[in-house]
Amino acid sequence: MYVLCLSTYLSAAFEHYPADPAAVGSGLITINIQANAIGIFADPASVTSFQNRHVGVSSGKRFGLSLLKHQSAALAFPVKNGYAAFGASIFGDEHYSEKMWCLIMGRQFSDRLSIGMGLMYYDLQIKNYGQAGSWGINVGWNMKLDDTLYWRGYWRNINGPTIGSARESLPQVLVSALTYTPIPQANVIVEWEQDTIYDSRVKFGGQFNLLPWVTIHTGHAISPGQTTAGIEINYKQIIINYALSTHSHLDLSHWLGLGFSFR
Amino acid sequence: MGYDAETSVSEEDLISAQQIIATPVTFNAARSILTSISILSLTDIEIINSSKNIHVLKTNRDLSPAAEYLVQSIQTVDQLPISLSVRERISFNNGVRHYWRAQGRSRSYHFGILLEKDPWEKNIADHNSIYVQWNSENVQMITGDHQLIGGYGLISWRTVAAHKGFETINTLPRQGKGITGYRSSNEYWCTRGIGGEWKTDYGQVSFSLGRTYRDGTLENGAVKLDITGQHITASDLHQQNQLLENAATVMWSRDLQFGRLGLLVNTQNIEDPSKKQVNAASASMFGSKQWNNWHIFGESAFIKHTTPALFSGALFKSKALKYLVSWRYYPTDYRTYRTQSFSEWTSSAAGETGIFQNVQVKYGKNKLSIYSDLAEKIEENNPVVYNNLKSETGIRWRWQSKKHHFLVQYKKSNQSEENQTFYPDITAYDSYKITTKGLYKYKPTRKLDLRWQINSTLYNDNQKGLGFETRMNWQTPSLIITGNWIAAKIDDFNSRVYFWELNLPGEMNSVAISEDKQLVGVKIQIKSKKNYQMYMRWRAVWNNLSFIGTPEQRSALALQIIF
Repeated sequence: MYVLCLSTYLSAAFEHYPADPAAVGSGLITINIQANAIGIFADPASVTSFQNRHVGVSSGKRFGLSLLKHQSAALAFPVKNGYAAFGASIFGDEHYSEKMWCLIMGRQFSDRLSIGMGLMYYDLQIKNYGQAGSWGINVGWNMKLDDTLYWRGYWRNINGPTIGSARESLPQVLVSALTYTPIPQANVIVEWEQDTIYDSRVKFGGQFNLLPWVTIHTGHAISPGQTTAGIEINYKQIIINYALSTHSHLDLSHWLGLGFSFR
Repeated sequence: MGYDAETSVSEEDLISAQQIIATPVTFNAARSILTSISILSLTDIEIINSSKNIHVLKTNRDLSPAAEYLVQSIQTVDQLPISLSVRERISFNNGVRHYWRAQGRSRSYHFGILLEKDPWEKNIADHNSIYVQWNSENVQMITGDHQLIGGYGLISWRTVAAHKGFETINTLPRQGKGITGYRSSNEYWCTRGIGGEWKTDYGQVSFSLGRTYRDGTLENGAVKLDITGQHITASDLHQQNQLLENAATVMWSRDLQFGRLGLLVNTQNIEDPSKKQVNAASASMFGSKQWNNWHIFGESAFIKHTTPALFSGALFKSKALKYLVSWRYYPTDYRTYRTQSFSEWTSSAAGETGIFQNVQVKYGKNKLSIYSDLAEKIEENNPVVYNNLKSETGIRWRWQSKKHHFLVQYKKSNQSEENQTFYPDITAYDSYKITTKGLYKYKPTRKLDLRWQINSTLYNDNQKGLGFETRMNWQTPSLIITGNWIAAKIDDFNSRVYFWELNLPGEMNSVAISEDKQLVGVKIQIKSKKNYQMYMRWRAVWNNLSFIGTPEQRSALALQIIF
């Protein structure tokens, strides 16, 4: 089962990146649409969305398997000349684990352009086998095309990091996405993701504010086909998210998130 | 612009043209960008340089159609504190090609960033390029990827040489402008380092100091460059960045009483990982002179152990007639540093001698162009010296009104080939190729234009190719839709035909069809008032003439934003 999981989606070390359940529920997109601090791992430019300190935690299991469980935490906050964030994440179990630390810096250059950069440290541990680490750099952008349309994207591991004595390459990923807000209560997102080894993934999804304190999400990703759904509840400064995704051969994957905004 | 689909146009020119069309610029910036476009004629450049303001330039009726189109597209602004344009292009055609470019300026600084990944390459930034340029009135400095374009291409030139065809009369007499930031996605041409330019009372001095890693190997003391830019197979990766080139280039040029004179000197050292080295030095002298209606120009380059390479030409210009004659001689193994000379053969071992002529006659709405080239290949290292001859001739008639546009052209090329079975049994034979093209364009309304084109190729009397294209273009203020259908019946690769692709900004690709095919394509451009544009292209290709079977599909997306 573990081999099947690796061959379908999690094909190499550090393919799993921490994700905000709201983005997961909107079609497994990796753009940080809801400005949850967890999303800064993948989308460094989203750090410029945090006008207040925001802390986020997330936990879940891929395909319902304990050995693919993950937990993450991140804190994002404005600083004097821009924005900053840091976070940590762990994926796996006591036999195999991938730890990730990140430090993100971002700046809003105009009301239409934000750039973010992330310094990542990847730490791989395999019980009775050893440990290896590597540094990666992520760069992202967020550009406002007009009042309803944004172009967002990032390059993951642009420095081409390798890990271990075999110098195995860590995944390099390109993402380009358009987010469209046709009405104030709804968003639509289309994301193209290209891991340099695998086929492109096109993901699309949306979210809708059902009530002032409830948002629902749904979406779909191709190659492989996965359908997703999620719900978010806002209570004062607290945000609670839950998302799940299907897979044609494997069990459901679950994400649970909690966010707190210091206003 | 009058270019045939089999012609290469430099990407720098496309980027400059796109910059003029899409970005608001100051008048001085517009002038600088326009004069850097190599496909504009000397007459265009003189008009652009002598115009005092944009109004004078836009109302000039002597500009060529290409220059006029670009000039009419210019949106000028008085001051531009900061400007930035970002473009992303994703092409799905046997793998994914990704291209991301940012280009901008702030006060006296210009910069450019390019990240590109070819299909199946594993590094998302496989080709990366960056430059920062600082300009003042008389001084310009560049750090990063740059190129020095000098003389007429015998030593240091842009990525593409002047093409051979009906419009050569515009490009061939253009002298290199000096130092410039490198903007092409061509992966083997830039120089990485620092460059600068001073305008003094004693002329313009440009320099380039580069330390550039290049793909290739050293074999028997000769440099074998890998120019594909592909880094996919083990063999590609084995050659990637294996050569380290240290190069220094200095150019001086000045307008003197008798004309413009220049000198260019380059020295380079190329080293492989085993510390084997190849050293080369070259120098050239170039110049041009205006004499009544004649513009005379030329360059001679000197390289160790070979005879000098020579290139010269004369252009006659009047309102109704333009005539160009050019002569060239390149010895074997003369190519050096960034040679991109006007030539028939591009192999570094092959030399050639040739004469080229081009004439353009304008009469009312008619324009007649004729060109002819005669070249002889020089291969002194062959066991038996056997010089190939190639001749090429073309004639084109064009008639253009506001609604109708007719074009008919005929080109014939002859080449002597050799067939070596067992030395010394070398037999010679001639091959020839005739290509004809007919085009009719009809613009019934401002929003709609329609085009029909027929191309044919005849190779050695027995291999024939025939292609037909119908193209439609419909535009509204916020949307442009272009569609085309191409059907071609082709006997063999030698009788292939070419048509222009539905190109996205910055592309100038053509479709080469070498077997029976039908292609249907559509391009949609969404224009916004907020300075962004989105483009989508989809194409289906059937390998037969009857739409049978599942077509191969290709697509591309592009997004361009101006800040």
